[in-house]
This record gives sequence, structure tokens and C-alpha cells, in this order.
Amino acid sequence: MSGIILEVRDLVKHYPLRRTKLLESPGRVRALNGVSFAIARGESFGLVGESGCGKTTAGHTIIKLLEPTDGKIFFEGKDITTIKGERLKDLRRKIQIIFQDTAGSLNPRKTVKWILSEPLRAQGVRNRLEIERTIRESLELVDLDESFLDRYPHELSGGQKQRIGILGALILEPEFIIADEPVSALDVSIQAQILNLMKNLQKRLSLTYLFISHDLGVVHFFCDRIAVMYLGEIVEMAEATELYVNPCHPYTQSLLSAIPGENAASQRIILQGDAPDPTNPPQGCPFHPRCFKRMEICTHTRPRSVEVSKGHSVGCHLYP
Amino acid sequence: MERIISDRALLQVRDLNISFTTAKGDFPAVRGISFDVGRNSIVGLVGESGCGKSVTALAIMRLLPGNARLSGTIDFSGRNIVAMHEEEIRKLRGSEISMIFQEPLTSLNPLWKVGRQIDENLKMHTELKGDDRFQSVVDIMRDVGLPDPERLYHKYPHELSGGMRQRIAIAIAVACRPALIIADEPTTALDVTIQAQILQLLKDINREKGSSIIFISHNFGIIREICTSICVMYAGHLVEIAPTEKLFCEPRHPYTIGLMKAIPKTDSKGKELYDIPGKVPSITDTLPGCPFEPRCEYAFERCKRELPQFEVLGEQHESRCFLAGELR
Repeated sequence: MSGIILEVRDLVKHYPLRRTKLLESPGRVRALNGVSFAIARGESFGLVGESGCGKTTAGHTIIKLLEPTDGKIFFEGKDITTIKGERLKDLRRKIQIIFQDTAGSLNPRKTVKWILSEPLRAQGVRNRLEIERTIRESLELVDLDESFLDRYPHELSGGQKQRIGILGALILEPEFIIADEPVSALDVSIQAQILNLMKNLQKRLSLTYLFISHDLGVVHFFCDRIAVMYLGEIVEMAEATELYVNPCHPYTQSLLSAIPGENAASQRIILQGDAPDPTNPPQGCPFHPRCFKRMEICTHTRPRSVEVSKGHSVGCHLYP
Repeated sequence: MERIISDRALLQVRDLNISFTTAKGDFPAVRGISFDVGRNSIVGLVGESGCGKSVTALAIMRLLPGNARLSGTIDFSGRNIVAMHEEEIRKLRGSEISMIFQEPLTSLNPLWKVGRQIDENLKMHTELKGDDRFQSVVDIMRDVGLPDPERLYHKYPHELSGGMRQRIAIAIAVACRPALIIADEPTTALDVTIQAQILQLLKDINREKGSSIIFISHNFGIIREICTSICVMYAGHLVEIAPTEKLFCEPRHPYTIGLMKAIPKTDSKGKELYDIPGKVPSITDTLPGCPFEPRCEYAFERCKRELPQFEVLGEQHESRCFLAGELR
């Protein structure tokens, strides 16, 4: 692995809420609250957390589908936080995204050929023959053949749709792929096919992945390093194996223990209550209302991220 | 096909076939399945989408749409549900058998306060009136772990979180202390930490109230966690039945073995994940032989022509494969 391909520094994204009272200042959903990480070239970096923790917002902000409220994003050493126009278009050639809900992200009225040609046309390729050739040559990457080109999305199975979704992202030969829950809508046997396919593509095309998922089993299998998010913050970050063997943050511990079937039920840590409302996050550590190791300090002071061992950082008062 | 029939079973499904009549012909969704649900047990129905597990559940509740055709028997403590009159089945639903659906937001009525939705079940099936009934609803809500039930009684479903909504759905299901609860993917729409809470609650209900549960899921991890025995379904067929630990330690059907290997586990890191080649056959495909034959790595000539019968491998362990005895 050589060098950092993407770095995110103190990324903040707040969504404004509609004002409900005339003189009250409008509330905000704090989807990202100072998220920082760096991804090395050729790596698979996992972002895990429960719904509403901000993992999808992070992905969308990096590919500039959303404007960050604050913070910086660097891609290949260049600041891409505020780029627009032609430079943004160039960037989109290098960073692509695979969506979770392929059924929803493929246009139901267009054929597979049209769907795959769209990114090329958007990047200014005008020659019909060239477009056609590129598509035909690339189909083999995802183990599909030319008979699929004239089909519509509803004629494809879930696994085939996701292959088309992946190919749509690959067709511009990007270097960096954001995969937002790429397998969570698929059945187990198909999920394994897609995960293997993505791994093989990574080796063949030297891709870097930002892999977003709520499924810890899948993330552990797929990723080299993992960041655990809770309420818009990264609470723990480490190499995949280290995180599983030695989880430090109480939230990571409870997440790992909650994977059904991997642990005996007696060792399970069952958290009380639901994740808090991101419009009104708790004071102090965001996790303290549900934490089973809560101390007095957690209720009023936000913990800082500290390195417990090389490459393993955690934001918790238990590790001063 | 004969099966060891236990006398004390609460529910006995025998040779159940379900097909749907459409303009394009008849399509079989469930093809001759038989299984038992014992008293006080939690039976898992597991399989991938389209394997017929939800249709089986709806048949037990007699909630299939009008174009469904059904044969076989579903015996619920001595009464055949398939042959019941509409009046009888309505008395049964909600009081003796009840159901928890996958997505509580769509199964709860958005225009009714949640308390009233629990209350309705008691109104239908019990003699309770007025304050007594209100008190029962509040008690049930407290039983399923809802905080401050007097206040929550007056909330609408959209005002609650996903986990709380699923607790309301469970409260409705357990209100009349049914003998059998059918839970169709009750935690699929929930986050892992909330899922752990709901599974614990269902286990407590099974232990404390003695309700049997049919638990439907595509997730083997959850099934292992909660069930006492497991039925694996594939393309409308039952392919393997076993007590939970038996199934996980000694799966004896190539499909079950394949699924177990396809789940990413802690020790699969860095290796290629096993994947079952091909895809699930469509409901329109008719295969004369074993439904799994086209994807099976052990398949041989006979599998193409003939549907294997169940082979009994041990106590309550059966697999529908010619090689069941030899697979390791």
C-alpha cells in the first residue's frame, strides 16, 4: 500500500430543519460531527454503525452529492472540498459510488445498455461505436454477457441488478469506489457472490473501497480497517482483526456481542433504549445514555480520541 | 412421506401445497411440506426470498389472497385450519394464533393510537370492559418493555421509534396469550442493538407465557440464536429439518451446507467466500428432480430425474437428499 488516496478532516454536515416557531432559531440534524479518517491506496476501509449514525451522509459528502457544512476533504493530496464545474466532473471520473437499492437507482424505463452508457455520455464520450465497445468489453468484469444489454431492470434478478450497478460505477475506470450497503438487499448466497466479485475487481483494477454497512460480519470479512460511527462521530477505529479481537469502546463491544449466532447468548450485552435523536444529541459523550460503563464525567465532557495501540484509536473516557 | 409424528404437537402441517392461479397459469409456491410445532418450542423457517416461507405462514393464518389454492392439512390442536369456516378462523386469529409482521410501520394502523390497537384485540376476544380493559392494555405494554405505558397509550405509530413500534406489534400479538405466535422476519427492519432487544423479548415470552413461536427469517445467525429446531426451505420445498445445534454442527443437505459456508464469519477473513453458483429457480420453472440440482456440487444423474425423499438421520433430523447419509 502506498500513500493516502483520500483524507477527510473534521467533516461536519448539519441539515437545517424547517422553523416551527416564528422567533425560534431553526433546529439542525447533526449528521456528521467532526469526522476524520484517511484511506490508503488499495485499501478497503469500512464505516459501520446503525441507521442514522451518519455513515451514508459521509459517503455522499465525499463524492460531493452533499456540501459539507465544515471540514476538508482531500483526494490524492488536493483539496476537493469546494470544487465545482469541470474539476468536479473530472473528480467524478475517479470517484464513483455503488448504491444500496439498485432497484431504485436503475432507471426502470431504460435498457441496461442505456444505463451503462450514461456515465460515458456524461463524461463527454460522443462516439456511439466507442461507447458500445467499452460496454461490451466491460461486461466480462462482472460475469455478465451481451444478452443482458437489451434487457430492462425488471427483467434482472437482485444479484444481476447489483452487478449492473457495480459495472455502472466501474465503467469510467475510477480509482476510488464508495460502496453504500452494496449487499444488504441481497440473499445470503447472492451476497457471497457479490462480495467475492468486489474483492476480485479490487485486485484486478487496483481499486480502493470505502465500504459502508451496518453488517459487522460483512465489514469484518471485506475490510482492512474499520471505523465505528455513532451519532455522527467516529467512536473507534482500528484494523479489522484488532477491532474484533480487542474492541475498546463500549458501543463497539455491544455491537460485536449483538451479532446473532457468533456469541453465546449469555455473553450478550443488550443496550437499553434507542439511539438518541440527532437533532438534540446528549451532552458529553453521545453514547452515555445507553452506555453500560457510564461514569460521572461522561455526562458532561465529550471524550477525545486517543490511540490505545498503533493504528487503534478510541474516543471514550475509559481510555484517558 | 411418513414423518415421526409426536402426539403432543401443537401444530401439524401435513403435505401442504399452495399454488397461485394467475392469467399466465398456476404457479406452485409451496410444494408438499410437512412439519410439526411442539408445545413451548420455537421453530425456525429459514430460506432465501421466494422460497415459500412467508406464504406458509399466511396459510397457517388463513390470510392467503383469493387466487391461492391450497391442499393438505394444517392441524392446530385437533382442528384442521384448512377446512375451517371463516367465522371460526376469525375467532382463532388474534386469540389463539397471532402474527408479528416484518415492518411495524405498515402493519400498524397509522390513524389509530397504539393503545387502541392493542385494546381492539382484547375487545374482540375477551369479556373485559372499561377500566379493566385499559388496565390490561397497560399491563401488556409494560410486559413487552414499553416505558411509561399510560403516556404511550395515547401516541400514534409515527411518534414512536422502530424498536418501540415493533414492541407495540408484539403487544398486540401477545395480548390474548395465544398458543402460537408466527413472527415473520420481525427484526429485519431493525438495527442490530434493537434486534438483540426484540429477540430477548420473544424468548422471554416463549419461556414465561409458554407460547410456541414459528420464527421466519433468512438470517441463520438469528435463527440459531432463538430457535429450538429449524426447517430449511428451498424453492417451495422443505429440504432439511433438524434441532438447532444439530443443523449448525452437522448440516446434511448441500443447500444448508452451502449457506453456512457463504455467511462471512470471523475466521473467513482473507479467504474467498464460498458462493453457491447460479440463482434460485423461478417459480415458473418446473424441475422434475431435486430443486437444488442445478446449483448443487454433489449432483449426479439421478437428481435430475427424481425428487429425493426425506432420509431420517437421527432424532428429528431429516434431509431431502440422496446423499444425506454420506455428506459431511
